[in-house]
Amino acid sequence: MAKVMMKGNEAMGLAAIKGGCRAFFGYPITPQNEIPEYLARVMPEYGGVFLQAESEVAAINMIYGASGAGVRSMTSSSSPGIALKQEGITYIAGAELPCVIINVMRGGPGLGGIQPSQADYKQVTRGGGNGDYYLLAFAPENLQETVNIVKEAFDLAEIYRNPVMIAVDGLIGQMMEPVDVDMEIPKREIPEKTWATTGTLGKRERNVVNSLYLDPQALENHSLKLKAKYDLMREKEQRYELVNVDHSEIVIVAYGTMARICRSAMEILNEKGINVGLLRPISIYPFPEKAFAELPSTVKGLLTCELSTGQMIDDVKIANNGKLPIGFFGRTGGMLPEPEEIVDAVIKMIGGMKNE
Amino acid sequence: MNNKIYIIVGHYGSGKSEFSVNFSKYLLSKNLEVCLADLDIVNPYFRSREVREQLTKLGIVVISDTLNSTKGLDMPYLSPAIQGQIALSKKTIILDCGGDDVGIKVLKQFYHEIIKRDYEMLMIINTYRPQTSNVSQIIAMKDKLEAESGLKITGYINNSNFLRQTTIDDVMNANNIIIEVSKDTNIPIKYVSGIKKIIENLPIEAIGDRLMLDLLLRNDWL
Repeated sequence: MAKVMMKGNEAMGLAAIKGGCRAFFGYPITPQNEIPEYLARVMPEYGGVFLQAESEVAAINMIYGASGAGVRSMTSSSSPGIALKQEGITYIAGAELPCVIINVMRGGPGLGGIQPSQADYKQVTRGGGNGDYYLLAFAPENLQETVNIVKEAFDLAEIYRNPVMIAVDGLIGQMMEPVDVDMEIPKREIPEKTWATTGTLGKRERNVVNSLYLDPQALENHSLKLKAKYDLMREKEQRYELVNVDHSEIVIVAYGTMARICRSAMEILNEKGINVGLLRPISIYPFPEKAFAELPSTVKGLLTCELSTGQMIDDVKIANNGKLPIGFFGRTGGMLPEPEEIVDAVIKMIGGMKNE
Repeated sequence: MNNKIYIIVGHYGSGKSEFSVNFSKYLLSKNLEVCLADLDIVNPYFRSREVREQLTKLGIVVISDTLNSTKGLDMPYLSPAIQGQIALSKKTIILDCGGDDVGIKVLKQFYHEIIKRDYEMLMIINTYRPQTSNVSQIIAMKDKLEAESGLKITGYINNSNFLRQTTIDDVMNANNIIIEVSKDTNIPIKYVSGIKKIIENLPIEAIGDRLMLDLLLRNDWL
């Protein structure tokens, strides 16, 4: 397929199908409704199952079932709906089932609003439900990157036997952009699903999908096995983009739509003769700590920019390890800044550093 | 004498709102009194009501819901003032509809008032949308829109684009497809719309009156 114009939510729906998704369970919520709407129409054409569940809780537990049977499955929702799914998500992580979850983030807390937000960062990157677990989580900034990551997510979920979350803000779900849904993604070796409950046919031992371990030693062993997977993700799956960081004085750390706004701010600043770069996390779990080691010695400060009151900044502090001063700029509740607001924040930060 | 009603319909994401807000400014520049009614209760983002303040300052009457919202309201209802404008005012009215046949369900309530007036129902087409990419798909969409509204399409708008990445060739390839649609359905292509660099360089073979679009609903950084 050549390039077409698609809306983010539709493009994610089609990307899921191209990634092999054959079961979708979901419940409506703005601003992600076009994902289920699109898949309701298109999924049957590919012989897959689309089902609108009676609630978010039901949908995520249907994912547990479909995924347990080895089917590539996906659910999508927006912030309050994702909050509802957390119990199911921790069960899925505990039972080591692969699945893909799309969170088209809106303003919170509570019912919040319907405009774009990045205020679910901690929920996405710290597990969200109970227990020692993490989601492999990505936060792309444009539709081509989103489509590629959604497709890859189904492979990664099976390789790690772990849920993968794609966290985009509402604007990425709602905006139109040219996209090629058939762009090649990396070919990976996908392990056979020897664990799936596909029927024994009397030829093998029964497979059991479970997250209950009443023997504490068995549960500790299980948790250590999970931890080894997260360590492997941290080693192999960190993704990021460094833009214009050579010779830069300040590096902005931003992802998703905020990164797009920061790119414009960066251009304005560079025209003013202020050297500014961008460190853009693409994976948010694992957080791309390796990117910080690549920053040149010209960098004198980091400015974290988020569509929240400051959540990723904690990961930036951990990755920075006390080396550089860290500033913060954020808008929240569904408000998007103009690039000039970030320009001002950078100039203010430089001024503050000179006064110290 | 009453002025015209322009009903802008089409597939999701084909550019109805961006066309409508620019078209309202164009009609204003022709010294018409203009009312823009945002009938989109399907989509919560990128609606013409987002530029309410900008258009109101110019003298365009913008109506959507009774709260005069710009962003953030996700409520499926319309202001009764829209009915009033269609039935009673002599303004030139643009009805910016929601996408697909679902989006124009709301038109039905105005049907009896619309047919009393001189109206045009313009179907906007972007041939780079996967569901309106060829002649048969476009005609199928036209049929659905007519069936749902009970009104006939009176003209096409070629708004085929890849946003700021659009080339003249992109528009001309679409022009060829829409010419076929026009012949098959006996409905003229009324407008061809696009950003400045496109409209200024379009060859004569591109059918339709030119309408230059400033991307009012899309931030410069997007």
